Amino acid sequence: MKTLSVMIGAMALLCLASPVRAEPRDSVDRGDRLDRDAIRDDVRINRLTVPRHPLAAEQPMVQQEPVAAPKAKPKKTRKDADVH
Amino acid sequence: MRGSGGLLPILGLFSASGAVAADLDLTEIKAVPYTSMAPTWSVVGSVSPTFTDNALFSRDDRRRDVFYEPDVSARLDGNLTPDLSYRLYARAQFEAFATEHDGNAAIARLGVRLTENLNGWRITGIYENRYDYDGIFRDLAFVSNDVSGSISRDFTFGRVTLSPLVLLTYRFSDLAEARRWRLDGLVGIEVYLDSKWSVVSTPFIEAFWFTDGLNRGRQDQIYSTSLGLKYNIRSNVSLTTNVVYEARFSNVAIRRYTDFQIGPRLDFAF
Repeated sequence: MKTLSVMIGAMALLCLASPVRAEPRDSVDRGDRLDRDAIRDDVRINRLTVPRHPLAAEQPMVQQEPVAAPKAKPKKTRKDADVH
Repeated sequence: MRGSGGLLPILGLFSASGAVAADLDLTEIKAVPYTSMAPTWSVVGSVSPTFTDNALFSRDDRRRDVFYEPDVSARLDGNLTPDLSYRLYARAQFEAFATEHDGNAAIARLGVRLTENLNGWRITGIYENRYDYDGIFRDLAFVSNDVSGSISRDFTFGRVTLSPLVLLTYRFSDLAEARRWRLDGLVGIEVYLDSKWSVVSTPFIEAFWFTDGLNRGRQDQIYSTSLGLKYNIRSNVSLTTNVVYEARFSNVAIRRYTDFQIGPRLDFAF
């Protein structure tokens, strides 16, 4: 009787463990393999240049903002011009 | 007191008078760096037929096969500040085997990430909600939420570009066996031969610490490297023929395997 109960227990444990332990390629491993490929893909894709979308509005590369002059420059006189 | 509201426009006029058009010196134009805050969208991905000599990841039952693997993402990118960018993305990926159909699998992902650019280093936080399927989007196997942090940078030395990346992830999942820590370290290496051709390689180390269910206590390490020849068809399309060798070590003996893969891969970004 004791031997029978041990065998039944062992069978139950084997059945419980089978989804993960006995099948090397299970859902978890499959997902990890896809993740690995996704990371490798990212390395290559990051080297590519996404073209400007045809519907995207053109944006200037630099923005120029006028600034107020601290004070008006003195007008050059004819005499100053002659000196320089 | 209420009448004081009517004085405000007049006071405003006097205050503004210090910067009337006549005082603007148009010769002193100050250029400031422009950073677009408008989001942009893109579709990126890759497709490949690949030969593997171990389709089922088996230590003892090695089966050769060819699988087809598309990986496509739709992304929305934008900037919150000049140095802080965000990305929202949806990604679909699957593997379809020619004969070993038990190996077929698919993943759908929705994610968001924030990246801070700090003196050339990219520090990224990622949240990803993902759905793992058995078969090609056939049976939902488990649903997970991945929380990740990474740091990366590009280094260029003449014709060589190195892109190291360290990524740490914890997976929360409705399947206990899927919950785990994962640490990735890799270096993307590209050696430019000319404007079109380059040699690429990616040494890659992964470490897994499973935390729950029947996998509690399981620790895996995967060492892999790839070597390939890349042809840039355009600036946004490239074709790479890769050879990949990977070996998994584990404290669960049946989980150990080696795998060899070879195949072309087309990468695109639109």
